[in-house]
Amino acid sequence: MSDADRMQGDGADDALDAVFAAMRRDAPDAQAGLLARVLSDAEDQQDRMAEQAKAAAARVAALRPPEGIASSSGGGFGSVVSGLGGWGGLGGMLTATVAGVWIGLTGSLPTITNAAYWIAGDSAAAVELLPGSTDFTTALVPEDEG
Amino acid sequence: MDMALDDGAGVPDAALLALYAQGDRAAARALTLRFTPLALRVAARMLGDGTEAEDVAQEAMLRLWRVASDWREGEAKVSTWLYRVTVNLCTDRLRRRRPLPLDEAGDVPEDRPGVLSAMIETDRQAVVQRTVQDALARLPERQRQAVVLRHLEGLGNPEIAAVMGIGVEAVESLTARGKRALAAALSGQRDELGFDDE
Repeated sequence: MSDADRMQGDGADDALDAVFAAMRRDAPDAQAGLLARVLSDAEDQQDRMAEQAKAAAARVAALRPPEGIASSSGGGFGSVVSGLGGWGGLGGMLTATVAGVWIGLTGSLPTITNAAYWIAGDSAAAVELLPGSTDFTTALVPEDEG
Repeated sequence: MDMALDDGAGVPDAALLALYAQGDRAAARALTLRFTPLALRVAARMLGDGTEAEDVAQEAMLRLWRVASDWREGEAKVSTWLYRVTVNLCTDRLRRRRPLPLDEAGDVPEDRPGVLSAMIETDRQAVVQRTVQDALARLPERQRQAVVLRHLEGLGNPEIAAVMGIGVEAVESLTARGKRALAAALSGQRDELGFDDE
């Protein structure tokens, strides 16, 4: 029975179901031209994703330390120094350690003046650059210049 | 162009998409063959215009390619996602074409190619399909989406609900109202189409 015949039959509802079925059968096909355009888009996008991945990998590589430095640190102690941020980092850590010991022993922070006397001894004199403040404004002047 | 390769039959959609995101050209071809017809069918039924439908299908597929690398397996079916994108693209076009949606499902438009000229067509079933397609174009937007997905794509109500972002009951209501309107339009055309004369 054709769709047209059904339309004369029990009701439009049945006819409509038949028409739907026919429309499903006769659904438009994707032509070769459309498929080619879609595939071209797909491959272009893959190429873009590959380029982006390559660029991201290059950025990550640029953040790594140069190969020479990494290899010169070697294993054992070298790798420990490297892990602490290199010799600069190790020096900072030692300075902080000495300062901590000092504070622990004396219970106070050394003033610059005191520290300067320790370093320069009798051969230097302290000069106040900003009267009233002694910690950060004191300069050492060698006695023979003062 | 050679599109002789199969559509990756047997490989799940999400797995194909993952392969595509890794640069697999065969997966690109398989997905193209598997999903472009889906997008085209829906767009053609929603828009009633073959050229526009091809544009929409290509755009929907382009969005699939772009989302591939971020696709999370298990979150959604690829087909459901593509249905949703296609329907939304069609809706955008329909709104640009006709800013104010029709409030009611109506009769076949008076200015459509006349019934007399349609009668000249040798394939009467084609005339019937055209009548339904025209009536479909007059349905309110959401009813049309529901009818196309339910009756022309054969989706179940839960999947339609996922595509349209509404509840299953709302889908049932939209589908029923849409079908009633189409049946009424089709019934009203019987005499004009001349089926009673034979």
